[in-house]
Amino acid sequence: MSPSFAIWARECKSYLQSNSAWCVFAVTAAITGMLFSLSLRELDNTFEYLPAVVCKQLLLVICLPVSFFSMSLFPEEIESGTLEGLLTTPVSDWNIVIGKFLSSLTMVTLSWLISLLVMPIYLKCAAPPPTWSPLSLAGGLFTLFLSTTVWCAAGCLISLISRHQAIAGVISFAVTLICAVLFSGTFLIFDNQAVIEMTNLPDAARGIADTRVFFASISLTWFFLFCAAHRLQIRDWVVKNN
Amino acid sequence: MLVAENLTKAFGSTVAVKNVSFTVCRGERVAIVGENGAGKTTLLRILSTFLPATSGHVEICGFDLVCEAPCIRSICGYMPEKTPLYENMRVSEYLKYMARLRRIPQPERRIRVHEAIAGYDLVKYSTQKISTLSKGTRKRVALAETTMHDPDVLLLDDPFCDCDLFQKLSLVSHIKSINKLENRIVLFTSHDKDVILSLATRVICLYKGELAADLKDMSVFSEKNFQDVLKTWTEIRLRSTVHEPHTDPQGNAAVERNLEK
Repeated sequence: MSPSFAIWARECKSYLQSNSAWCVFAVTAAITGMLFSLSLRELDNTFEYLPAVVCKQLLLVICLPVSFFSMSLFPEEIESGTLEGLLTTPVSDWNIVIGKFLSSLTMVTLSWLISLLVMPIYLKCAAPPPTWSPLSLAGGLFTLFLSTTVWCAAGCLISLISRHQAIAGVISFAVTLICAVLFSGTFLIFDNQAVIEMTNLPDAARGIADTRVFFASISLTWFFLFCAAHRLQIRDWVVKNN
Repeated sequence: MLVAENLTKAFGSTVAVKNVSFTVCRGERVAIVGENGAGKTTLLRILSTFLPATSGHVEICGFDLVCEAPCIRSICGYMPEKTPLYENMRVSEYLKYMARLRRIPQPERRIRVHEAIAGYDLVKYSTQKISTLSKGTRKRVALAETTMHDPDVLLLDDPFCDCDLFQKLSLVSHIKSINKLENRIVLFTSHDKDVILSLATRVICLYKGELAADLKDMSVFSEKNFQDVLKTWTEIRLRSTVHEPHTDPQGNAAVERNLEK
């Protein structure tokens, strides 16, 4: 078994055993449900727009689980000293970063998947029941997943830069929220098409695939993880302690 | 064999370890002593590959510390001072997790974990959560993890600080037996005179990051006061213009003379 997988499994198990993680799942589902029920009232023709609306809302809401699940990735281990033990085992810095990144990605993805489970209930309650295409929803969710990987990689780096969990959480939340607002294409006040088209969720939710979104997400994720691995390599927190 | 040459570690303008050179052969148990802030922990952290040295060269069992860090990690067992363990894990679960990270093959892993639990008298704690353990038991868990993969070199940072007398005696004899049977190198830091005298076969004294003394003859401690001997060695070192630690017989004679004065 790869060391990254062992780290991933330990982190996920630790999250799932904590009450706070389940609280975050519940809060995420509640906010998503509330926003969704409000948008159902507003939309007249939901056939085309419903998946786009769902994905946009999720993109904004996942800022909460991203900041929660990434804030404790490194500060907790640095504080308790377990990272010192981990870094003297035959595990590379890359393995540690990848393991931790994957654990936060898993938990954030799980949180919006749980939120999605609530959707059928709302759709059944809506009168008249809206019609929508599951395939377009899948397209939107795939783009959402790509965004989640970028947010989690950024959160991983932020948690390594800031030594305190709370600071890491606040910065992650602010950064991901700003990016979500900019990239969701909801707000066109900047009149910057290049930026807005990066994720362009409405297009993805209509089944229009844009390879630029895919490559931009992969590149950004790789960049953030590379920075995190480099940051881990220089053992910056030990220098601060001394 | 462990060879350190002109090892230096600086944190900005603060030099924590300065031009430290020494060689440790297989079977030796070396105590690294010195005041707080003398550079003991930093030295062990460098040797464990946790911290990169600013300058200098280290070779452990033929592996270069910089170029072959993963090889060194697999033959070294390092126990940090704070005994960092995952609080929410159970003892056996933690040992299995660390065995996985230490890349012990699957069929062997279960046996090694079982041996470690039995060897450090942790059977009744194996299903307990680490957060519920006493400080001394936590030390034993950490030591079990450090020695589980049969490392050639053991680097222990103040391993007995939270242990009671009985635990200390038991751990000292355990480390001695490991060292004797497997012919391993043991480097440990301690402030406990009794532990040093009972476990060490050699004492390295650091003073403000520099190697003040390298005592290979432990008989000098049996006759004179432990602190006095180290103090004298440190003074000799500081007065000396030659940047070589006193390891020669003349050095011992100088200590004797100083102590008599």
